[in-house]
Amino acid sequence: MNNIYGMLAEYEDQGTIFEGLTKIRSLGYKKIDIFSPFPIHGMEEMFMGKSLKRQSRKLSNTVFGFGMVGFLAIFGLITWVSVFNYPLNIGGRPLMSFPAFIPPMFEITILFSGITTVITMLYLNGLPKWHNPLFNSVKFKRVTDDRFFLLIYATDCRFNSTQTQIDLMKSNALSVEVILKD
Amino acid sequence: MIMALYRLYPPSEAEMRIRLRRHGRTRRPQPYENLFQVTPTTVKRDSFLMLLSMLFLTYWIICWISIPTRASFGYLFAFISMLTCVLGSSFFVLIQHAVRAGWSVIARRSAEFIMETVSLFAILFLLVVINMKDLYIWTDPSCNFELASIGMFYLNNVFWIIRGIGYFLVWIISSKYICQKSFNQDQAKNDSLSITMQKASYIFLLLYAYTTSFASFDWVMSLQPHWFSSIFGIYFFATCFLTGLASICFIFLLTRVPSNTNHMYDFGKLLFGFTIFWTYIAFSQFMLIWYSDLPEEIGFYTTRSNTEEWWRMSFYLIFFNFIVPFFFLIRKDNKWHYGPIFFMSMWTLFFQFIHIYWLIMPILGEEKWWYSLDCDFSAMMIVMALFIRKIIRSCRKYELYPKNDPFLEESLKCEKIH
Repeated sequence: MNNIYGMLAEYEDQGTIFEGLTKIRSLGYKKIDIFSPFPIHGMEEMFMGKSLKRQSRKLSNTVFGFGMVGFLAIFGLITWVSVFNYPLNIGGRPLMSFPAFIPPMFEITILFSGITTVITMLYLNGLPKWHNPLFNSVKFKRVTDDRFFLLIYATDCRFNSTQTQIDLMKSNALSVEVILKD
Repeated sequence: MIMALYRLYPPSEAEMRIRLRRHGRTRRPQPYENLFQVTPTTVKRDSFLMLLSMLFLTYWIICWISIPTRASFGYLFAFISMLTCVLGSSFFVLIQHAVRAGWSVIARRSAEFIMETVSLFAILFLLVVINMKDLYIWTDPSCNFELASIGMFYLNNVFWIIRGIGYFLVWIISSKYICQKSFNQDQAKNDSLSITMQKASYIFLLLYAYTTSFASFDWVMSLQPHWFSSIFGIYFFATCFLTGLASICFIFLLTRVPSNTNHMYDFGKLLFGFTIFWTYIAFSQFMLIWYSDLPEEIGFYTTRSNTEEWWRMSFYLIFFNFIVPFFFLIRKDNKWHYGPIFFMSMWTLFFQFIHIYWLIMPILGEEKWWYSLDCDFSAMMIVMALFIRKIIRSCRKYELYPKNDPFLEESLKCEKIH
């Protein structure tokens, strides 16, 4: 039982997978994923919900935080260097002359947020990943060509290997397959 | 005045049709949407705005008799502030035509109404010309020997007035041409007028770019004739575009033209972008002058920071014109709804006007910036009342959205782009 990764159902086209998804969701399954050869119109709204509030803000909030960290880090560095560590008199200006600090602060803030956008995105997507249990399925290879797949994860609280199989078959799936962890 | 705009007109049949179509696709009713759709009653008379303007004109003339220089500066401030809205809207309209933008078609008419008021400013400009001697120190012949020869050639009374007339000719001709074409298209059968407008807008954009920069040199920068900055034209343009966008949002929301939150999102993005652009340009100018610290350049900033009150005001400008809008508009929620965008457009308008005040007033050399604010207020009311009266009149005269524009459908379907 613990060895099951999830249950994979195969559908013929985007219409049937849409109907299947609505049916499966109405039965109360939460941890679902859809795999398709091309983006299906309206699928995103189905997953996200129509309101914007349910859209995840993990990425933007993390990036904002790291941008702020970069801002403070470079401010600290410049202040430490030009005021304490190596004070230089430039044209009689005060050592702590803020306008001159702004360009590097701007640059480093952008650098930090740019790099952390990529890293956070990879982390949130679970990348890089060498192998996915779905690759064990032979049928799943057609996902890049002409078949649509729906996966219910075994971690779903309603997951039950026999009952889930029946539910998926009832939702007009062509075939249902158990995916094992390895 | 806001109430006058608010109860502007009864919705036409065509508008109701579109509004209904929109309701089929609204995600969720927004609170502000309902606010703008209260039972409309037409404003029967706009003569009270004329009366208001005349009343404040009387007050301003009393000020002008007692303290002519201060009153003239107040008038120049009001004139330039409202003119920036007009120029910004003109840029907006021309850019939308030039790039054949679809999303903004529903809001374009508000921008055209603002653009059309430029002929009013041609009349208002007369008062600046009359007060020229009080405003610009280079009009005094004894001042000229200090200026370089190019300054002698450029800054003399006759040439200055001729240039002023030239700018207004360009602006009036182009705005009449573009707006009239757009108004005519409401009755037109085909799209030929749209194509004409698109072609004309390329030339007009170029002309506007030149005239706006030179107008800013003539009317604002020459207040300090010994100081010059080559970035000043674009600095002024950034202010123009910000106030233009803010006033378009303002009029657009008050005219209750059907729109969806995606239009607000687009306006929010533009406001956010141009707030940063304005800060970038202002900082570029400041940074170079502050770093080199040359006596002929630093005068601009020393006049604005040599007393404590002006120094404090310069700091407030950074805070209210950059930091607050930046952190307010960076949130997706705040760009997405009617209320925050309406609030932010008012905020931007108000604080950009303060910025123009900061550009013009310190030349007087007053110690405190709140000295005789009544001159400024009355002058502002003269210009603003006439401006709003003209907009209300055009709202009643023409359709509130381009009815036959080829991109109207696209604009109504304006979808969110992640």
